Amino acid sequence: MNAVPAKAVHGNERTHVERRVRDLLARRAVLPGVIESVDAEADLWELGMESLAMVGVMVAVEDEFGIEFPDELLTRETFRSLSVITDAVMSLTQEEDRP
Amino acid sequence: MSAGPAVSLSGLDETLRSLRLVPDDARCFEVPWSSAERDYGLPPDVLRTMLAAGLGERSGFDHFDLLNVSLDLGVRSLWTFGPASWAKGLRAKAAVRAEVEFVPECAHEPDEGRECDFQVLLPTGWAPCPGGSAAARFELPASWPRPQPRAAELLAEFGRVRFVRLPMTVGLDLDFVERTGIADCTGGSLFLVREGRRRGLPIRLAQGVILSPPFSVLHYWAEIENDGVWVPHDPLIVGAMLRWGLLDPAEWDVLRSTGAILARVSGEMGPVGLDAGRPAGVSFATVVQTGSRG
Repeated sequence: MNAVPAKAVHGNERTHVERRVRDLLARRAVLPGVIESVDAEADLWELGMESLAMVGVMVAVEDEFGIEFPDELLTRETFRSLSVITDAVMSLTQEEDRP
Repeated sequence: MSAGPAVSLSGLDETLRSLRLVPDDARCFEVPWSSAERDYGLPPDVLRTMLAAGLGERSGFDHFDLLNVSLDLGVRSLWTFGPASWAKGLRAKAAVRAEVEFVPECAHEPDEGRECDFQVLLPTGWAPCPGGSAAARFELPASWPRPQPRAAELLAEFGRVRFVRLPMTVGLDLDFVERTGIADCTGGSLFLVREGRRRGLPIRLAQGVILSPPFSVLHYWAEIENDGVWVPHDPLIVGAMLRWGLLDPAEWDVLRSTGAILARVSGEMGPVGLDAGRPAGVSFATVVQTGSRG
């Protein structure tokens, strides 16, 4: 018997992915001193992220999670916040898990 | 620190020979080792080889040297993302529709105490940016006419020039291009247009962006008129992409147009953004709509 509700499992997974994204950005020195503790919904563009840094984030996230962003997700909006990046990663990893 | 995935070193000697053609006084060894590994994806053995070739100091490396080595070795990094994206775009079978948002950056000092007053250069001319950006839409055919024989001859000759990212002072020096046989898109396109005009061909310069969503980059190429159509030609980039293994040589040569990924803005080499009349950097947030880029 599975004692953990499915919704909670999903929530834990999301938290885990979000933490990996945050750690990744910290290792890539994106918004140093800020990214480590910033709210997941905070607008990274407003905090000073630049376009070149965003491309670095995109490449690093693809490598970290073994995914490739399709054209429709290659937008500024996809990389607006830790939360939105996490959404994109989860949708792509779930797609790849499908048979 | 992790050395990252294994990198094939074939061709490194040729890359280093090309880079030795760049004058030393154009170099700035300001990228530290840690950043060279992390941001350019170059493993320590490559960096040591660069150092031994005089392309680096204990304090660090030159950005352009790192960038060129990174491109030629095909390592994956934010700096090499562009060419991989161009290759995807060139595989499009249908017209590419792109929306490019021109986002200018402040060109004044923080202590000047005034608001930014932006303008950006769109294909329709200079436009104000009251909301901080302005957008342009492009529809780019996937296929273009092959060049006429005299234009083909010029492109084939110029296709032997090797693409190397260069510091601006060197890149714009056409004598350097002629002397060394290496060029970036600025000097390369100027050189090609000058030589084409000398031969009496209908050729012009193009300034615009080379599409690589989510952010394109400013780029220069030549356009040659063919039966009333100005056809974009970029033999320098095609040659480089063939060298990097990003284009299939069975389908591509330097005569073929890369117009599917070239969005023309103007025919001049100059700023595309202004802040209260001062040249301002511009980033090009890009969304591409086509179902066949993968």
